[in-house]
Amino acid sequence: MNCKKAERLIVRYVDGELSSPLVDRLEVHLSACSPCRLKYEEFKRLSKLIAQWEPTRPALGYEALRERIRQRERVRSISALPVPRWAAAILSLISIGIGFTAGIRSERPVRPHTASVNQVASIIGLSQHDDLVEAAILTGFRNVISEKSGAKR
Amino acid sequence: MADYDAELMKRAALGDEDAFATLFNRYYARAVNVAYRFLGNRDAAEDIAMDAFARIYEGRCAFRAASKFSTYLYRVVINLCLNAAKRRSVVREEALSDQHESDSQVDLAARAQSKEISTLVRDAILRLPANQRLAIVLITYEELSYKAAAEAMGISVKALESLLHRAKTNLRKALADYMG
Ligand SMILES: [Zn+2]
Repeated sequence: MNCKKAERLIVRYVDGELSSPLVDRLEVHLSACSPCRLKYEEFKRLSKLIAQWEPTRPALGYEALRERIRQRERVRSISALPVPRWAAAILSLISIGIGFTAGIRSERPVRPHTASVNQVASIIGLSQHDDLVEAAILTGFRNVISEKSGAKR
Repeated sequence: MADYDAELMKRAALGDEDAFATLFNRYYARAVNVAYRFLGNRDAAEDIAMDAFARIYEGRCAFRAASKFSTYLYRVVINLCLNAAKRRSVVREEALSDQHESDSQVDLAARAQSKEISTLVRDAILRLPANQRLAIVLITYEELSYKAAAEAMGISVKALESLLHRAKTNLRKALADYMG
Protein backbone atom coordinates (compact mmCIF):
# COMPACT_ATOMS: atom_id res chain seq x y z
CA MET A 1 0.00 0.00 0.00
CA ASN A 2 1.37 3.43 -0.92
CA CYS A 3 0.95 6.61 1.15
CA LYS A 4 -1.63 8.12 -1.17
CA LYS A 5 -3.92 5.13 -0.79
CA ALA A 6 -3.24 5.04 2.94
CA GLU A 7 -4.31 8.65 3.38
CA ARG A 8 -7.64 7.95 1.68
CA LEU A 9 -8.23 5.01 3.96
CA ILE A 10 -7.26 6.91 7.11
CA VAL A 11 -10.35 9.11 6.95
CA ARG A 12 -12.59 6.06 6.55
CA TYR A 13 -10.72 4.29 9.33
CA VAL A 14 -11.25 7.18 11.75
CA ASP A 15 -14.97 7.22 10.83
CA GLY A 16 -15.25 3.48 11.47
CA GLU A 17 -16.05 2.81 7.81
CA LEU A 18 -13.21 0.46 6.94
CA SER A 19 -13.79 -3.27 6.48
CA SER A 20 -11.48 -5.59 8.42
CA PRO A 21 -9.16 -6.78 5.61
CA LEU A 22 -8.45 -3.14 4.77
CA VAL A 23 -8.00 -2.28 8.44
CA ASP A 24 -5.29 -4.94 8.67
CA ARG A 25 -3.52 -3.66 5.56
CA LEU A 26 -3.71 -0.07 6.71
CA GLU A 27 -2.38 -0.94 10.16
CA VAL A 28 0.57 -2.69 8.60
CA HIS A 29 1.31 0.44 6.59
CA LEU A 30 0.85 2.74 9.62
CA SER A 31 3.23 0.71 11.73
CA ALA A 32 5.93 1.10 9.08
CA CYS A 33 5.30 4.68 7.88
CA SER A 34 5.65 7.49 10.38
CA PRO A 35 4.29 10.34 8.16
CA CYS A 36 1.05 8.38 7.65
CA ARG A 37 0.93 7.47 11.33
CA LEU A 38 1.21 11.18 12.11
CA LYS A 39 -1.65 11.93 9.72
CA TYR A 40 -3.76 9.26 11.36
CA GLU A 41 -3.11 10.76 14.80
CA GLU A 42 -4.01 14.20 13.46
CA PHE A 43 -7.31 13.07 11.94
CA LYS A 44 -8.16 11.33 15.20
CA ARG A 45 -7.41 14.48 17.18
CA LEU A 46 -9.42 16.50 14.68
CA SER A 47 -12.47 14.30 15.28
CA LYS A 48 -12.15 14.85 19.03
CA LEU A 49 -11.76 18.59 18.54
CA ILE A 50 -14.78 18.81 16.24
CA ALA A 51 -16.88 16.96 18.82
CA GLN A 52 -16.41 19.90 21.20
CA TRP A 53 -19.08 21.90 19.39
CA GLU A 54 -22.00 20.81 21.48
CA PRO A 55 -25.46 20.15 20.11
CA THR A 56 -28.26 22.60 20.78
CA ARG A 57 -31.33 21.73 22.79
CA PRO A 58 -34.59 22.56 20.96
CA ALA A 59 -36.94 24.98 22.67
CA LEU A 60 -40.14 23.91 20.91
CA GLY A 61 -42.27 20.78 21.02
CA TYR A 62 -45.14 19.01 19.31
CA GLU A 63 -47.67 21.74 20.16
CA ALA A 64 -45.60 24.19 18.13
CA LEU A 65 -45.73 21.79 15.20
CA ARG A 66 -49.54 21.65 15.45
CA GLU A 67 -49.58 25.42 15.31
CA ARG A 68 -47.19 25.47 12.34
CA ILE A 69 -49.40 23.04 10.44
CA ARG A 70 -52.51 25.15 11.14
CA GLN A 71 -50.63 28.27 10.03
CA ARG A 72 -49.61 26.62 6.75
CA GLU A 73 -53.21 25.52 6.17
CA ARG A 74 -54.38 29.11 6.57
CA VAL A 75 -51.78 30.39 4.12
CA ARG A 76 -52.75 27.73 1.62
CA SER A 77 -56.44 28.49 1.84
CA ILE A 78 -55.74 32.17 1.18
CA SER A 79 -53.52 31.48 -1.80
CA ALA A 80 -56.12 29.05 -3.16
CA LEU A 81 -58.57 31.94 -3.57
CA PRO A 82 -59.24 33.03 -7.17
CA VAL A 83 -56.87 35.70 -8.51
CA PRO A 84 -58.17 39.20 -7.62
CA ARG A 85 -59.96 40.96 -10.47
CA TRP A 86 -57.42 43.75 -10.88
CA ALA A 87 -54.63 41.20 -11.21
CA ALA A 88 -56.63 39.21 -13.75
CA ALA A 89 -57.26 42.42 -15.70
CA ILE A 90 -53.55 43.28 -15.81
CA LEU A 91 -52.66 39.74 -16.82
CA SER A 92 -55.18 39.73 -19.66
CA LEU A 93 -53.97 43.16 -20.87
CA ILE A 94 -50.40 41.89 -20.98
CA SER A 95 -51.48 38.77 -22.77
CA ILE A 96 -53.47 40.77 -25.34
CA GLY A 97 -50.52 43.14 -25.81
CA ILE A 98 -48.15 40.25 -26.50
CA GLY A 99 -50.72 38.77 -28.86
CA PHE A 100 -50.86 42.03 -30.85
CA THR A 101 -47.13 42.43 -31.21
CA ALA A 102 -46.80 38.80 -32.23
CA GLY A 103 -49.67 39.11 -34.65
CA ILE A 104 -51.66 36.49 -32.81
CA ARG A 105 -54.34 37.20 -30.27
CA SER A 106 -53.66 34.85 -27.41
CA GLU A 107 -56.49 33.97 -25.07
CA ARG A 108 -54.76 31.17 -23.25
CA PRO A 109 -55.70 31.44 -19.59
CA VAL A 110 -53.01 31.68 -16.94
CA ARG A 111 -53.03 28.36 -15.15
CA PRO A 112 -51.29 27.29 -11.98
CA HIS A 113 -48.73 24.47 -12.08
CA THR A 114 -50.11 20.97 -11.93
CA ALA A 115 -50.89 19.96 -8.38
CA SER A 116 -48.66 16.90 -8.30
CA VAL A 117 -45.47 18.72 -9.24
CA ASN A 118 -46.22 21.43 -6.73
CA GLN A 119 -47.09 18.97 -4.01
CA VAL A 120 -43.95 16.92 -4.41
CA ALA A 121 -41.80 20.03 -4.57
CA SER A 122 -43.36 21.45 -1.44
CA ILE A 123 -43.00 18.24 0.56
CA ILE A 124 -39.35 17.88 -0.33
CA GLY A 125 -38.75 21.51 0.50
CA LEU A 126 -38.14 23.00 -2.91
CA SER A 127 -39.50 26.34 -3.92
CA GLN A 128 -39.66 27.94 -7.34
CA HIS A 129 -36.29 29.67 -7.24
CA ASP A 130 -34.35 26.49 -6.67
CA ASP A 131 -31.51 25.96 -9.00
CA LEU A 132 -29.50 23.06 -10.30
CA VAL A 133 -28.01 22.19 -6.93
CA GLU A 134 -31.29 20.92 -5.58
CA ALA A 135 -32.28 19.43 -8.87
CA ALA A 136 -29.03 17.50 -8.81
CA ILE A 137 -29.67 16.39 -5.25
CA LEU A 138 -33.08 15.08 -6.21
CA THR A 139 -32.02 13.23 -9.32
CA GLY A 140 -28.93 12.00 -7.52
CA PHE A 141 -31.08 10.71 -4.72
CA ARG A 142 -33.18 8.71 -7.12
CA ASN A 143 -30.07 7.21 -8.63
CA VAL A 144 -28.63 6.30 -5.28
CA ILE A 145 -31.87 4.72 -4.16
CA SER A 146 -31.93 2.53 -7.23
CA GLU A 147 -28.32 1.53 -6.68
CA LYS A 148 -27.75 -1.25 -4.25
CA SER A 149 -24.05 -0.81 -3.72
CA GLY A 150 -22.38 1.05 -0.90
CA ALA A 151 -20.17 0.69 2.12
CA LYS A 152 -21.44 -0.66 5.38
CA ARG A 153 -20.62 0.76 8.74
CA MET B 1 -35.68 0.61 14.21
CA ALA B 2 -36.31 1.74 10.64
CA ASP B 3 -39.29 -0.61 10.34
CA TYR B 4 -40.81 0.84 13.47
CA ASP B 5 -40.54 4.33 11.91
CA ALA B 6 -42.17 3.13 8.69
CA GLU B 7 -44.94 1.58 10.76
CA LEU B 8 -45.46 4.86 12.60
CA MET B 9 -45.57 6.74 9.30
CA LYS B 10 -48.13 4.29 7.95
CA ARG B 11 -50.28 4.80 11.01
CA ALA B 12 -49.90 8.57 10.70
CA ALA B 13 -51.11 8.36 7.10
CA LEU B 14 -54.22 6.58 8.36
CA GLY B 15 -54.92 9.45 10.72
CA ASP B 16 -53.15 8.32 13.88
CA GLU B 17 -51.98 11.61 15.36
CA ASP B 18 -50.07 9.96 18.21
CA ALA B 19 -47.98 7.98 15.76
CA PHE B 20 -46.80 11.19 14.11
CA ALA B 21 -46.16 12.78 17.51
CA THR B 22 -43.95 9.80 18.36
CA LEU B 23 -41.95 10.27 15.16
CA PHE B 24 -41.64 13.96 15.94
CA ASN B 25 -40.37 13.29 19.43
CA ARG B 26 -37.89 10.72 18.17
CA TYR B 27 -36.36 12.90 15.48
CA TYR B 28 -37.06 16.56 16.11
CA ALA B 29 -33.87 17.29 18.07
CA ARG B 30 -31.80 15.62 15.36
CA ALA B 31 -33.46 17.66 12.63
CA VAL B 32 -32.82 20.84 14.62
CA ASN B 33 -29.17 19.96 15.10
CA VAL B 34 -28.53 19.18 11.44
CA ALA B 35 -29.87 22.62 10.54
CA TYR B 36 -28.09 24.25 13.48
CA ARG B 37 -24.75 22.86 12.42
CA PHE B 38 -25.31 23.78 8.83
CA LEU B 39 -26.54 27.35 9.44
CA GLY B 40 -24.97 28.17 12.80
CA ASN B 41 -28.16 29.79 14.02
CA ARG B 42 -30.43 28.20 16.60
CA ASP B 43 -33.69 30.00 15.73
CA ALA B 44 -33.34 29.47 12.01
CA ALA B 45 -32.53 25.81 12.71
CA GLU B 46 -35.66 25.30 14.75
CA ASP B 47 -37.74 27.07 12.12
CA ILE B 48 -36.40 24.74 9.44
CA ALA B 49 -36.94 21.61 11.52
CA MET B 50 -40.57 22.66 12.19
CA ASP B 51 -41.06 23.34 8.52
CA ALA B 52 -39.63 19.95 7.62
CA PHE B 53 -42.01 18.11 9.95
CA ALA B 54 -44.98 20.18 8.78
CA ARG B 55 -44.20 19.28 5.14
CA ILE B 56 -43.74 15.62 5.98
CA TYR B 57 -47.02 15.65 7.88
CA GLU B 58 -48.79 17.20 4.90
CA GLY B 59 -47.28 14.61 2.59
CA ARG B 60 -47.69 11.67 4.98
CA CYS B 61 -50.04 9.83 2.63
CA ALA B 62 -47.45 9.97 -0.15
CA PHE B 63 -44.66 8.49 1.97
CA ARG B 64 -43.34 5.20 0.61
CA ALA B 65 -41.25 3.00 2.85
CA ALA B 66 -38.73 2.57 0.00
CA SER B 67 -36.35 4.82 1.91
CA LYS B 68 -35.95 5.03 5.66
CA PHE B 69 -37.95 7.70 7.44
CA SER B 70 -34.75 9.22 8.85
CA THR B 71 -33.20 9.48 5.38
CA TYR B 72 -36.35 11.13 4.10
CA LEU B 73 -36.34 13.59 6.99
CA TYR B 74 -32.65 14.44 6.52
CA ARG B 75 -33.27 15.06 2.85
CA VAL B 76 -36.12 17.47 3.52
CA VAL B 77 -34.06 19.28 6.17
CA ILE B 78 -31.04 19.48 3.84
CA ASN B 79 -33.09 21.00 1.03
CA LEU B 80 -34.64 23.55 3.36
CA CYS B 81 -31.18 24.43 4.69
CA LEU B 82 -29.77 24.93 1.20
CA ASN B 83 -32.71 27.18 0.34
CA ALA B 84 -32.36 29.16 3.55
CA ALA B 85 -28.62 29.59 3.07
CA LYS B 86 -29.27 30.96 -0.39
CA ARG B 87 -31.99 33.39 0.67
CA ARG B 88 -30.26 34.97 3.63
CA SER B 89 -26.89 34.54 5.17
CA VAL B 90 -27.99 33.38 8.58
CA VAL B 91 -24.67 31.74 9.19
CA ARG B 92 -22.16 32.69 11.77
CA GLU B 93 -23.69 35.60 13.62
CA GLU B 94 -24.85 33.95 16.80
CA ALA B 95 -22.87 33.79 20.00
CA LEU B 96 -22.81 30.39 21.63
CA SER B 97 -25.17 30.47 24.58
CA ASP B 98 -24.47 28.98 27.96
CA GLN B 99 -26.12 25.64 27.96
CA HIS B 100 -24.38 24.39 31.05
CA GLU B 101 -24.88 26.91 33.79
CA SER B 102 -22.76 26.21 36.80
CA ASP B 103 -21.66 28.46 39.63
CA SER B 104 -18.43 26.73 40.33
CA GLN B 105 -15.60 29.29 40.23
CA VAL B 106 -13.04 26.63 39.48
CA ASP B 107 -14.82 25.65 36.30
CA LEU B 108 -14.92 29.16 34.92
CA ALA B 109 -11.51 29.25 33.26
CA ALA B 110 -11.86 25.76 31.85
CA ARG B 111 -15.33 26.54 30.58
CA ALA B 112 -14.23 29.81 29.00
CA GLN B 113 -11.52 27.92 27.18
CA SER B 114 -13.77 25.13 26.00
CA LYS B 115 -16.31 27.69 24.85
CA GLU B 116 -13.62 29.41 22.88
CA ILE B 117 -12.62 26.14 21.23
CA SER B 118 -16.26 25.37 20.56
CA THR B 119 -16.62 28.74 18.81
CA LEU B 120 -13.48 28.15 16.77
CA VAL B 121 -14.70 24.73 15.66
CA ARG B 122 -18.09 26.15 14.76
CA ASP B 123 -16.58 28.99 12.74
CA ALA B 124 -14.24 26.64 10.89
CA ILE B 125 -17.15 24.36 9.99
CA LEU B 126 -19.36 27.25 8.90
CA ARG B 127 -16.62 28.44 6.58
CA LEU B 128 -16.60 25.15 4.67
CA PRO B 129 -18.38 25.02 1.30
CA ALA B 130 -21.99 23.86 1.73
CA ASN B 131 -21.56 20.28 0.53
CA GLN B 132 -18.41 19.67 2.58
CA ARG B 133 -20.20 21.10 5.61
CA LEU B 134 -23.16 18.79 5.08
CA ALA B 135 -20.87 15.79 4.84
CA ILE B 136 -19.20 16.69 8.15
CA VAL B 137 -22.52 17.35 9.87
CA LEU B 138 -24.04 14.04 8.81
CA ILE B 139 -20.97 11.90 9.45
CA THR B 140 -19.27 13.49 12.43
CA TYR B 141 -22.22 14.86 14.37
CA GLU B 142 -25.15 12.73 13.27
CA GLU B 143 -22.91 9.67 13.06
CA LEU B 144 -24.63 8.34 9.97
CA SER B 145 -22.98 5.61 7.96
CA TYR B 146 -21.39 6.75 4.70
CA LYS B 147 -24.17 4.95 2.86
CA ALA B 148 -26.98 6.68 4.76
CA ALA B 149 -25.34 10.11 4.49
CA ALA B 150 -24.74 9.69 0.76
CA GLU B 151 -28.37 8.72 0.33
CA ALA B 152 -29.56 11.73 2.32
CA MET B 153 -27.38 14.04 0.21
CA GLY B 154 -28.27 12.39 -3.05
CA ILE B 155 -24.69 11.57 -4.01
CA SER B 156 -22.62 8.41 -4.35
CA VAL B 157 -20.58 7.00 -1.47
CA LYS B 158 -17.43 7.76 -3.48
CA ALA B 159 -18.46 11.40 -3.87
CA LEU B 160 -19.21 11.61 -0.16
CA GLU B 161 -15.81 10.17 0.68
CA SER B 162 -14.09 12.77 -1.40
CA LEU B 163 -16.15 15.57 0.20
CA LEU B 164 -15.21 14.29 3.65
CA HIS B 165 -11.57 14.10 2.75
CA ARG B 166 -11.56 17.68 1.49
CA ALA B 167 -13.60 18.90 4.48
CA LYS B 168 -11.29 17.27 7.00
CA THR B 169 -8.20 18.50 5.23
CA ASN B 170 -9.61 22.04 5.31
CA LEU B 171 -10.56 21.73 8.98
CA ARG B 172 -7.15 20.32 9.84
CA LYS B 173 -5.58 23.41 8.33
CA ALA B 174 -8.04 25.83 9.92
CA LEU B 175 -7.70 24.30 13.38
CA ALA B 176 -4.00 23.41 13.23
CA ASP B 177 -3.18 25.61 16.22
CA TYR B 178 -5.68 23.83 18.46
CA MET B 179 -4.92 20.23 17.68
CA GLY B 180 -2.13 20.10 20.28
ZN1 LIG C 1 2.64 6.22 4.35
